[in-house]
Amino acid sequence: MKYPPQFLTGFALLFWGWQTEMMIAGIALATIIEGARFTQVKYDFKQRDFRNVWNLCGAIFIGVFFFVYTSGGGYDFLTIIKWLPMIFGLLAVVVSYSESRIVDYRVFRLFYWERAGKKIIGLDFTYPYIATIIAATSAANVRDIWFYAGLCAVMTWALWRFRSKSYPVWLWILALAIVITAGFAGSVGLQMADSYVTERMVEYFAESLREDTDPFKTHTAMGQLGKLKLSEKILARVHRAGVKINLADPVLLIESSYNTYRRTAWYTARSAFKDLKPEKNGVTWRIGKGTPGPERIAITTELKKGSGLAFSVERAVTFESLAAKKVGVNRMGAVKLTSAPEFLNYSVALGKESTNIGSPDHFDLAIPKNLEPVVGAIAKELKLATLRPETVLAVVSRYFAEKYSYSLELSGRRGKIDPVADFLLRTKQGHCEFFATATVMLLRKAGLPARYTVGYLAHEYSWLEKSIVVRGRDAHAWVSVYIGGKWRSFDTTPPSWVSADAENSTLLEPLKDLFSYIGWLISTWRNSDSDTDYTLPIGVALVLLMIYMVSRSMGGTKLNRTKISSKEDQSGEIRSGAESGLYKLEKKLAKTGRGRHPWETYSAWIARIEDNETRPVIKCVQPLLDLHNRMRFDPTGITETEKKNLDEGVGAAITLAGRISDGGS
Amino acid sequence: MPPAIAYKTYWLTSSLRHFARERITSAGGMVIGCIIVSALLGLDTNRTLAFQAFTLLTTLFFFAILFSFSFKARFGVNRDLPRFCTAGEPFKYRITIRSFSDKAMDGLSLMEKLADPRPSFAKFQTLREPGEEQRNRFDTVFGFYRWNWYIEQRRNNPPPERVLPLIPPGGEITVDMEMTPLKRGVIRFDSTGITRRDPFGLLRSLVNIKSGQSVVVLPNRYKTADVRLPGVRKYNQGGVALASHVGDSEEFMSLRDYRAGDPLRKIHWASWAKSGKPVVKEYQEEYFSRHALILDTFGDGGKIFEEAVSVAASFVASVDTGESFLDLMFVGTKAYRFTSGRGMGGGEPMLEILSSVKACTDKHFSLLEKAVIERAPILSGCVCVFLQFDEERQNFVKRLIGMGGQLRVFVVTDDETKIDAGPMKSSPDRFTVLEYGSVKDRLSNL
Repeated sequence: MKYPPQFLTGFALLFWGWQTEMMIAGIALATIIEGARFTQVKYDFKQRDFRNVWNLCGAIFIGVFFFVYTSGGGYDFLTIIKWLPMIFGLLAVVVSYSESRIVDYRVFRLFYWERAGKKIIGLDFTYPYIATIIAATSAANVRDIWFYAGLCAVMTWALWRFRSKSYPVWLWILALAIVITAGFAGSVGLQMADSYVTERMVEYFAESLREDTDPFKTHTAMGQLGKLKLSEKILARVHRAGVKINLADPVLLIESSYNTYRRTAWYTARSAFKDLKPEKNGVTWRIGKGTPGPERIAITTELKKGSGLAFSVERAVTFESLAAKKVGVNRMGAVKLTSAPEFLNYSVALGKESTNIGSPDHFDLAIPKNLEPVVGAIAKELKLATLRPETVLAVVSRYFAEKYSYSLELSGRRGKIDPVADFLLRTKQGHCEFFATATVMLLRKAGLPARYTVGYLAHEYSWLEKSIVVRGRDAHAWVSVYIGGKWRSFDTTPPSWVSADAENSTLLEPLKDLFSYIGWLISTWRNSDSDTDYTLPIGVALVLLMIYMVSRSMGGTKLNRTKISSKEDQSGEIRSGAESGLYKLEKKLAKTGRGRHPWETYSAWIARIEDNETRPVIKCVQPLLDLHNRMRFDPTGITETEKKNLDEGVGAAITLAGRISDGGS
Repeated sequence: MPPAIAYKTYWLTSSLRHFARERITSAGGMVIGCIIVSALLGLDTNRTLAFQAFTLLTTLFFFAILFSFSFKARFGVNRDLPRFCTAGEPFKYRITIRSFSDKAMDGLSLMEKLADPRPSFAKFQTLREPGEEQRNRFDTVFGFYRWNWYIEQRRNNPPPERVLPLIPPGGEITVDMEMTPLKRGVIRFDSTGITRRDPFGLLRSLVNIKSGQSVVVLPNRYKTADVRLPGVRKYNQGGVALASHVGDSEEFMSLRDYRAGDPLRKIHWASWAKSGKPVVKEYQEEYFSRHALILDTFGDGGKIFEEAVSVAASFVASVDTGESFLDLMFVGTKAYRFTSGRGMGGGEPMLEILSSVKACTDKHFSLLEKAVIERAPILSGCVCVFLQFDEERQNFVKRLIGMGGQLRVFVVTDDETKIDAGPMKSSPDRFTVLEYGSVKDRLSNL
């Protein structure tokens, strides 16, 4: 095994310090680690000592992890990556000042590190440490050419030692130059490919993810070809509370309503937002009129960047425990939040009726010209104009239930025919957007103001979480119709749509749900403003854990200092037993032309050089070979007495060798 | 029966591991590790620059693979192996490599390959690891520990990779190799590999040269104190010659007058013709010692058995039989007896036999007892190396003592306190318990 080249670690640390703007740390570590080359002081660290230091580094890592995830000050996992050279720098320093520098790979095992045989299967920790430094530097994400330049420099420097002597140096340089150029081209190509794939994936899942809902416009999937893609990701959790409530009863969560349809998209006219003032506690917002009753619906969800539309429900009166900077409502019933927490946890108090939606206007009765013929024909067939409003609802509901079916298949467009017209006349199957749009048109034709409303149907009760979970596939469109002086929800989509959508769930859904729940628990805890603050007890527990690990690490470690020849330390090879005096004898005899070939064993060497002059030396050395070999290869080493005997014997041999003249073969 | 899928999985993973060790250098392993880490860290190319390391290292490895296809040289190899070596002790040998290329070659390495220790599927199905009945059902069915145990029995560490000096065009070089066999038996060399690394030193290209050879590994032996073999000289009819051959053969000593009852075949006709009265030839009938070294092979073949074989080998190597014979007796597929001493050959053939002794799991101790008792009348004494000292063995020892045999009993065990001296209580100096781990010290202090 070869030592890493001189100053490579130091260079990597300085590079890391520069890129991550932690130059002081980089210089300090580089100085300490590379300083080991200039000192003759080394310590006799055993494998157990390396293990203890590794445990200590692990304790520090846990502490850093806790700090990053509780401080909330813009730190994330990349922060931990950037700090890794400091976290594991302690082990690198210990290895640098160790005699042997070889760390048994079992030291890094989580369990059973003391099992298996005594033979050490070692590695030099320095190379993995250099790789860690480069990984940490990459996490700094400084977008210029210097990271790649530094990476190539470190790689070239490290590879020089391993180059094969079968090839000339110029070929090695040329091959490396080609690799560096091709690697750079590859990285540019990879980044472009990543951007392309990311964009396509965002488009692909756009319909099924709860992206920022636009209160003024919503596109539909009507007119597209293929199959509607639905996401099983949990977007929100709903918990009902109140008197005589069935916790599992479904809830319609409203995002917004729209009143103008044109070319497969719905728009909102005249729906500017009006900012509300919070009540005295600063977290309660009055959305509608009336007195809130005992019924509550608690909603937890994520709000990207803390701004967007909040889920509302029919008969919402107040939003409670909502810590937002600004809350606005419009006449469509949409509630817009600004500067709210990304993890939303609020409660909606319900009243007896909807009072948060504005009165209808002519937009709520408008029918596009291209749909007028179709809608008019059906309304005439059903005789909607002659019916009372309640009867209109019943007839329309029965009409869709009997003649239309639910489907996620998208049949595309037929020429210039509007997809809604095609749905009503030909296909007679579609998803909720078709049903909702068609119903709005028919109700308007019957003289009833109607709006297209979007949101989610919270229906799936989770026994694990004891709440209703709302998935991407629960996105729904229905109708808000104005009857008897108030707005109410009206849904003509066949009820089978819920089970039809659920059929698209994957086998991994339960596992994903479990992880989602764990993440939700952590988020809830992190964002809780309850009186019970668990940070301190958890912090204390972790500090105690660190202290325990530190004390385990340092217990039983004795520092035995040794001093070795700096020349032996600087060789390109790692040799355990490097302090054996036999190497000095070898050098002494090499000066007389009786050097040992690299491929010769010691026994073969002394057999070869034996002659009249060297015989006394050979006789002195022969019995010491066993001790030397045991010192080099036996994991248990040799005793102090045996080492002393070896040193004395070799010393005597060196003295005898001093009398030998030059000229041996 | 282990399912075929388990066998195939073990085979495949061991082949992959062997291939990786053979072809990927430590630097190559590091690069692969870095590629994996950089791939994970660089998944989002907007958050870190690790993807640059990924592309660079992947390109580097790709070029290393390309270069590895370019090594097409031809070599001849000749190995000069010793006939024997000893388990646990290094032995040296020379190997000559001849190049058939017209270009000088530098930077090459040599890797010796030993025979594949893995069992065939048929063999794997019938194998039983000692103590396997104590494993749980899953392990018994899938045979993972059985697989590892079998390979461990046959595995030896080949010599470490040796860097070769420059090989001149069409020339040859000779290098010394050293190897330490792990256990007794036979080391089979399968082939020799000449390797060349790619320019970056990540991968090895390999040229394999078939060169099957084998070396017998004698059991590990300990230095014993001066052990006197027990017993006195006994009459062996027919003398030394008959000791080694079958049939009448006596040593002629002198002539004497005929006495009534002498067999006619002993009459020396020439002397009768000369002297006029019947004269007979007189022979010397030899008295010498014959000792038995009795090796108990009725064990599970584990570490205690191996130690017992080493103890027996230690006696074979160090005891001076002098004018006596030493019979090695043990049971393998049947009861065996091998003799050394007094012109029968030294201890080497006996050590060679001991190198291949296997534990006997399908025969009974009574077979060994019968074989020894049959020869007891001509034995001067016995050295017994037992794996335990149960009632059966104690009764055997009692019988030998009763027949006048002089005994030296050694029991190899992993727990000294469990051994009861039994009939040897009255001769504590002739009864020694050798506890595993301290056999060497005990033997040297006898």
